[in-house]
Order: sequence, then C-alpha cells, then structure tokens
Amino acid sequence: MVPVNTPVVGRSPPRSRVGAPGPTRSGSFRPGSRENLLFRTTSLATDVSEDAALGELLDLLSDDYARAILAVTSVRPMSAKQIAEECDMSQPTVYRRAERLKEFELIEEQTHVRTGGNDYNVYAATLSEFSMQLDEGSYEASVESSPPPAFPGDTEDDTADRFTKMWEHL
Amino acid sequence: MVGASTAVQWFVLALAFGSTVVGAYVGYQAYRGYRRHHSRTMQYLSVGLFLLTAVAFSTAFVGSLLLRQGLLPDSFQQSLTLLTRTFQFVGVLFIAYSLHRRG
Repeated sequence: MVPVNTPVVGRSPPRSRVGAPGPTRSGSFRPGSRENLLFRTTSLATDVSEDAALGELLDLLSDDYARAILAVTSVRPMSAKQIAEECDMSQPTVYRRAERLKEFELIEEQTHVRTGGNDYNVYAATLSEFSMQLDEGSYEASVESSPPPAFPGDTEDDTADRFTKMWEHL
Repeated sequence: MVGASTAVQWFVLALAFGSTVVGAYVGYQAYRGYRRHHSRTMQYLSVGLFLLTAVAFSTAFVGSLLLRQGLLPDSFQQSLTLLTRTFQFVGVLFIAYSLHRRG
C-alpha cells in the first residue's frame, strides 16, 4: 500500500505541454519539453551571473508598471503613447519598462508601416507563462512565450469569438 | 432569346437567395459573438448585417417572386425597391455605428 502523498524522489520528468503554441526562443533548450529553460540557479554552485539574471527577471515582474504593460499589450499591440494613456503612466516610463521587457524577450517591438511615411512602433507581449521551481537546492525558472497573434483573436477556435475580437479591435 | 433572358432572371434570383443565406450566416456569427461576449458592438453589427443581407435580400427576393407571378400589381415595384433600399440603408447605419462605438 503506497501512501498517496509519497514525496517524489529524484527529478520529476519535464512537464509536457499540449497545445503550447509557437516556437521556443533563446536560452538553453531541454529536449522533450516545449518549455524554454532560461535560468537554472543553484545556491550550492557559485553561478552568480544566472542567479542575478533570475533576480533581475523577478524584479522586473514585480514592477506594477511592467506588468501593466505586459497585460495591455497581450490583448493587442499598442504604441508607447497608447500604453501611456491606457495605463495612466508617462511615456518615458513606458519606454524604460519596455526596454527592460525587451531585454528579457517578454515583449516584442513591431514597426507599423504607414503609407504617409509616419511609421510608428508598437509593442506586443510574447510572454505566456512564467514558472519557477525549487528542487534540491536549485531554482529552475522557465519562460514560455508565444508569438503575438497576427490579428486580434487569431488564436480563437470559434468563428464567433474570432469575429468578435477582430471587429471590436478595428 | 426569351429563354436566355429568363435563365438570367432565375440566376439573379438564385444569387439573391444565396446572398440571403450567406449574409444570414455572417449575421448569425456576429449574433453568437454578441451572446458569448455580451458585446453591444456585436449586437449592433449583427442587427446591421441581418438588415443589410437577410431582411433586404429576402424582401427583394419574395417581392420579385410575387411580382413575377402576378400576385402583386406592377405598381408595387417602386415601393418594393424603396423598402429594400431602406432596409439596406438602416443596415449599414447599424454597422457604421457598431464600428465607432466603444465597449
């Protein structure tokens, strides 16, 4: 008779994901997993640089402005001006946070070409999941990203949902 | 020649019927979008699409059938056109309003 909550011995197998869209980017890639392993830090080893990188990412995600930018740009791509208005923050704040988010590839900058020549840049969140595990003295953090949809509602399965998202964001 | 022109007329009728069906389908998807997302924007869009396609086309379709069969006097031709155009105009008004309202 095995007790139900036996602690798992050893490393748990990589979680497999169904339907995680898009390719994985940067960082070391774990075979058999669609997750993108960005940081593996351990308190036993002296890998300060990766430890610092995870710390920086957590710092960034703890920032209200950065999270607000991620949230609004996950709905549809927005220019810095639109983000500033939507989130009630100054444009320099938007640019600063967006730069940091770009460094960690949580957000993507796209250029909107306009016929008049007044091109402008928009930001689109690419982050879909961030997770962190503590296992035997080491942290494992992974960032899963998906390419931003070509148009709002692109990823919806139902025609009515796609139609609604597309029409509402015209 | 008479046969050919009759064939064309039937083809026009068939196209009008097709537009009614396909238009109603698009309007139905907009209506489902309204129901699923409680979106007023989609409500206006679906009403507009129904008026523009299903209502206007079926009015024209049924009307011209009745005229062809002689069940309606020819003098109704103009009022039928007026009615159809009115439905179409109100339909596009709804769609334009849906485009510009927010939320």
